[in-house]
Amino acid sequence: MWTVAAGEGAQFAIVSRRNNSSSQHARLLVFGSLGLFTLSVGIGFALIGAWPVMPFAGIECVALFLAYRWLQSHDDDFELITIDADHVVVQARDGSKVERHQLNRHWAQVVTEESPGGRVRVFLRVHGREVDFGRLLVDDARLSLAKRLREQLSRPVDS
Amino acid sequence: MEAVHEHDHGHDHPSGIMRWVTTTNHKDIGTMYLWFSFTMFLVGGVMALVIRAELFQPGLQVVEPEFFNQMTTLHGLIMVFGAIMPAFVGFANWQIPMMIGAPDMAFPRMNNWSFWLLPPAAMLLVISMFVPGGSAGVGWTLYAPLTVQQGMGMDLVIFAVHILGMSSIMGSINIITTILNMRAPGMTMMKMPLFVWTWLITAYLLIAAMPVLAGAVTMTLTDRHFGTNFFNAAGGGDPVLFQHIFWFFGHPEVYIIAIPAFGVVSQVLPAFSRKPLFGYASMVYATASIAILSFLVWAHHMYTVGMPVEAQLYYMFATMLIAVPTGVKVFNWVATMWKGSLTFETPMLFAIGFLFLFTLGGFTGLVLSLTPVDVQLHDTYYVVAHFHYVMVAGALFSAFAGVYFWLPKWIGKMYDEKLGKLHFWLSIIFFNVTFFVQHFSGLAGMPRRIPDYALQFADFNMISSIGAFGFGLSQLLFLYILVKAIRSGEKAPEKPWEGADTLEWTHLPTPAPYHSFETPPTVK
Amino acid sequence: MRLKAFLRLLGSGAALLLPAVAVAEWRLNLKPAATAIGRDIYDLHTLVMIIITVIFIGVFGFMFYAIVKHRKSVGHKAEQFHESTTVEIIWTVIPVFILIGMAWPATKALLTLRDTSAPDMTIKVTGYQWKWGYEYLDDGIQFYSTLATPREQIQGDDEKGENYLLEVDNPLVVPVGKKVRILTTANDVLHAWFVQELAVKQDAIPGFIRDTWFRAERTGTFRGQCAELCGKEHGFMPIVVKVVSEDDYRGWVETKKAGTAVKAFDPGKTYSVAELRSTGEGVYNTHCVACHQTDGGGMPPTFPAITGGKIATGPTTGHIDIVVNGSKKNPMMAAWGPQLTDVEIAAVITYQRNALGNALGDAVQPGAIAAARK
Ligand SMILES: [Cu+2]
Repeated sequence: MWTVAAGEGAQFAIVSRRNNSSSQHARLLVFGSLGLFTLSVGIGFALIGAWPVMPFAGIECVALFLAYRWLQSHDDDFELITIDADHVVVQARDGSKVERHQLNRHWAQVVTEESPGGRVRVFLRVHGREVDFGRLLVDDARLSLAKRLREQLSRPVDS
Repeated sequence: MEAVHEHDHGHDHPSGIMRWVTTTNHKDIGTMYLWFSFTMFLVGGVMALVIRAELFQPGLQVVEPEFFNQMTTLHGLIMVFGAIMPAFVGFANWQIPMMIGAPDMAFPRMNNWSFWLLPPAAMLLVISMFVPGGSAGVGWTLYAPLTVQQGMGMDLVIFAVHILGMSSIMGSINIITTILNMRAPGMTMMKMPLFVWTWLITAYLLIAAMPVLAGAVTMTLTDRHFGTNFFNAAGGGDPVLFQHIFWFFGHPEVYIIAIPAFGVVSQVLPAFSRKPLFGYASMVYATASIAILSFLVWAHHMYTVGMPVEAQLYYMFATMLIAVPTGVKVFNWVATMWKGSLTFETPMLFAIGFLFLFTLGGFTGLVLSLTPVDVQLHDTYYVVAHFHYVMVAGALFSAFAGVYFWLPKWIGKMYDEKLGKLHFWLSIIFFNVTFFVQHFSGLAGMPRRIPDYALQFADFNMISSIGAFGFGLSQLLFLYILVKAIRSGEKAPEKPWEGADTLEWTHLPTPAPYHSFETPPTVK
Repeated sequence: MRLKAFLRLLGSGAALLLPAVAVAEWRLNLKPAATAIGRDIYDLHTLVMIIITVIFIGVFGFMFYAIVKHRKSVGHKAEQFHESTTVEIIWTVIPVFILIGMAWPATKALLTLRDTSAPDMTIKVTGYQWKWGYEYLDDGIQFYSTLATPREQIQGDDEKGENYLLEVDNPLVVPVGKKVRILTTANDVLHAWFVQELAVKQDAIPGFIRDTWFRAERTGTFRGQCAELCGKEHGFMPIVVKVVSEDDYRGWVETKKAGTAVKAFDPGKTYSVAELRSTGEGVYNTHCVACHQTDGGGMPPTFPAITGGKIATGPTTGHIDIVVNGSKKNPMMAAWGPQLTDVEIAAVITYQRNALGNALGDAVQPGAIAAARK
C-alpha cells in the first residue's frame, strides 16, 4: 500500500484513487476463462488438423495476460494534490511511474480546457510549465476539482 | 524546493488532422469509429446497388459475372467488418465510460491503435478490386477451395481480415477491462445498463471467436501459396473443414453484431416508454445464454454438406433452442412497452422497427433451423432475406436508434425530428420492399450469389431492386440530418428524453472513481 | 460495363410504368413437391408458418395495442411494474413445448430424408466448372449436361426463352416411382445439386462423395440450379431432371447407349481440318466459351485470349498439354483430359488454331491426344 505524506504545513490535500471495481478473483476468472477457452478451441482445432488456429490463440492469450498484469500493476494508482503556504504539490503514481511536481503556489494558475471532442483537460500552469491533474477522474469531477483548487489558491495564505 | 521527478509537461495540442490521429480520448475515438462505419456503410451500399442493378432484370446488363461475385463478397465483408461492427464499437467507446462512470477507456492508447488499424484494412479491401484478376469472388464466407483459384485480390482480402481481427481483439480487451475495473462506486455488475452488459458479452465472443477466423484465413493463404493442403482434397485435405472453422467463428459473429444491437434497443425502449425494462436480470441471463449457445450451433449453416444424420439432429435441436432466450428478450421488450407512457420520437421508431422486423428475421431463422426445410431453402434468397432482416432491420436499425438517441448527448445539439421520422419511414418501407419479396424468390428456389436468373424470378427481383435503390437514397437523408444537426442543430436541453435514466443523462452526483476531498491532520 | 446493354436496361425501366408486364406467376410458397418427402417438408414448412404467424400476431398484437392505447398523447400514465418470475417462467416454458412440437415432425422428416438405403438405381453426379457430369452406375451411361441457353439471350441480343437459364443439352432422365440414389462429388470446387421439386440439395465436394436420394411420384421435367457459389459461371449451370415412365426410361437408355457407340471414333482415321473444326466449334461453345469468350478474346489476365494467344498459336504439343492436363500456373484452367474424348480435344484444339482469328492451318489428330495422355 502507498501512504502519502501530505507534508508539513499542508493546509489542503486531496487524493483520488482508482475505484478498481474488480477484485483479483474476478479478474482471474474473466481473463483466465477467456484464455482457457481460446486455448482449448485452438487445441481442439489442432487435433482435427487445423493447427494454425493455435498461434493466434497463443498471441491472444499473451495479450490477455498483459492486460491482466496491467490491471494488477495499476491497482494502486493515485493522485494527490497538496497546498501549503508556498507550494502546490502534485504527486501521482501511474503503474511503476511515480511523479512529484512542486509548483509555486502564488504563481500557479488552474487552467481548464475543453476541446471540440468534448474532452476536458485541467492543469496547473506556472511560467509556461503545465502539470495535468485529475487523470483518474471523469470530466465532471475533473472540472469540479479544478473549481475547488481555484478557490483554494485564491484564498489568502493564512497562518 | 525542487520537484523529485522534475518532468516538464510540454503539452502541445495537436490540431487538425493530427488531433484525430493521435487522440486517445474515448469520445474522439468513438466519433471516428462512427464516421468510419458510416463511410463503409455507403461504400458497401454502393456495392449492394451494383448487385441490385444487375439483378433488376434477367440477363447480364451491368457487370460481368466475375465482378458480380466480387461485389457480393466485398459487400458482405465491408458491411460486416467495416460498417456494423465498427458502428457498435463506436457506441461502446462513447457510451461505456459514460454509463459506468469511468474517466475513459482502460487503455486509451490501444484504443487509438485499434481504430487506426481499420482504415488500412478498408483500403486493402477496396484496392483488391483494382489488382490484376480483381478482388476475391468467393462470397464473404471465403469457402475453400474456390479461394485457391483467386488472384492476388484474395491475398489482400486475407490481410484485411487479419488486420480487422487484430483491431477487434484489442478493442475487446479494452472494453472488457474497462467494464471490469473502471466502474464507479456502487455500479455493481447487476446495476450496469444493459448496453454495457451486452458489450461485455460481445467482447467475450469476439475474443473467443477471432483467433479462429485468423487461423482459417491463414490456412487459406498457405494453401494458396505455400503448398499446404488443409482444404485441398487432392493433397489429403478437406474442404468441409474450412466451413467448420469458418462457422465456428461465423455463428458467434452473427451475435457479435446482434447483441450490442439488443443493448441499444434495451436502453431506448424503456426511455420512451417511461418505464423500467421489464426483466433486467432475465435479459442479462438470456443474452448470456444466447452467447453460449452461439458456440454450439455453427454447423446449422452446413446442413447440406452431408454430415451424419446424428450431427444434423443435434445441430437442429441446439439451434431451435436459441429461440427460447431470443423469445425471452422479445417478450421482455414488449412487456416493457406495455402500460408505459409511450412517445414516438425517431429513436423509439427505429427501436420499434427493430423489434418488429428483427423478430420476423428470428422467425425465419426458426424456419431455417429445421434441417429438412433448410435443405430446400439453404443458399437461396430465403436465407438472404433472413439475414438481412437480422442484420439491417436488426443491427442497422438499432444503430440508427442509438445515433438519434445519443446524438444530443454527443454533440449537444438536436437533430431535426421531422426529418428523422421521415428517415425512419423511408428506411422501413424500402427495406421491406427490398427484402420481403426475397423470401418468395427463395421459396421458389432462386439460389443466392447468381448474377442472372430464370424468368420466373423476374418480378420479385425487379421489386427488390427498386426497394434497394430507395433504401440507399434514404440513407443520404440520414447523412443530411447528421450534417444539419452538427452544423445548425438547436441546442439540446440538458435532458432531451424525459424517460432516459442512465448515468450519462442523469449526471448523478458524478460518481468518479473514488474521489475524496479530505483535510489531512497536519493542517493547522 | 456493357454500356449498350445498360442503356437498354434503363430504357426498359420505363416498362415498369406499364401495368401487367409480368411474365411469371407470383409464386409465394415452395413449389409443389414431386416426392413424398418433399410433401412432408412442404407440410412441415406450412405448420411452422402457422405457428409463427400465430405467435407473431399474439406478440405484436400486444405491442400495437400498447402503441395505440398506452401512448403519452392519449394521457396514459406509465405503470412502473417490472420483474415477474411467474411471467418469466411462463414465457420460457411455453416456447419449449412449441419447439418440441415442431422438432417431432422435423426429426421424422430428416430421418427419411437421409435414408439412402436400398436404392433402385444410383447415379453419380459430378460438379465441374461449369457443368454437371452424370454417370449411371447401373446402366453404364455417362454424359455431361451443360447450359443450353444461347449466349445471345444472356447478353440480351435475343428474346429470352421460356426456360431461360434452366435448360440443358442433356437432361438427367430417371424412371418414375424408383428410388434414385444420387452420389455427389466435384472435380474442382464446391457445387451443390439442387432440385427443389424433388426435395434434393446436396453439396458436391471435391475429393469426397456424399449421397442423397429421391423417388419421383409423377412424370415431368424438374429444373434446378447449382446452389453453391462455384466461380463466375455459378449462375449458369442448371440441372434438368426428366422423370419418365419405366418404359420410356428403358427406351432412353437404349438410344443413349447406341448414341454413345456411334460417337466412338476410329483411332486410325485422319480427319481434315474442316471436319475437326466443325466438331470443335460445338465443343468450344459448350466447354470453353464461358471463360475464353465467343470471339476468343478471353478476359485477361485470368482467362487469356485464344485469339493470337501464346499457347494457341504456339507449338501443338504445348497446346495439347494445357488442354489435356490443365495449367500449373493458373488454377482456373482445368484439365480437360478426364472430361473430353480424344476426338473432342483434337477437334477443339484444331478449332482454336483455325478459327477465332487464328489461322495456323494445322490439324491435331485424335491419335496425338491419345499419345499425350500416356
Ligand atoms: Cu456450381
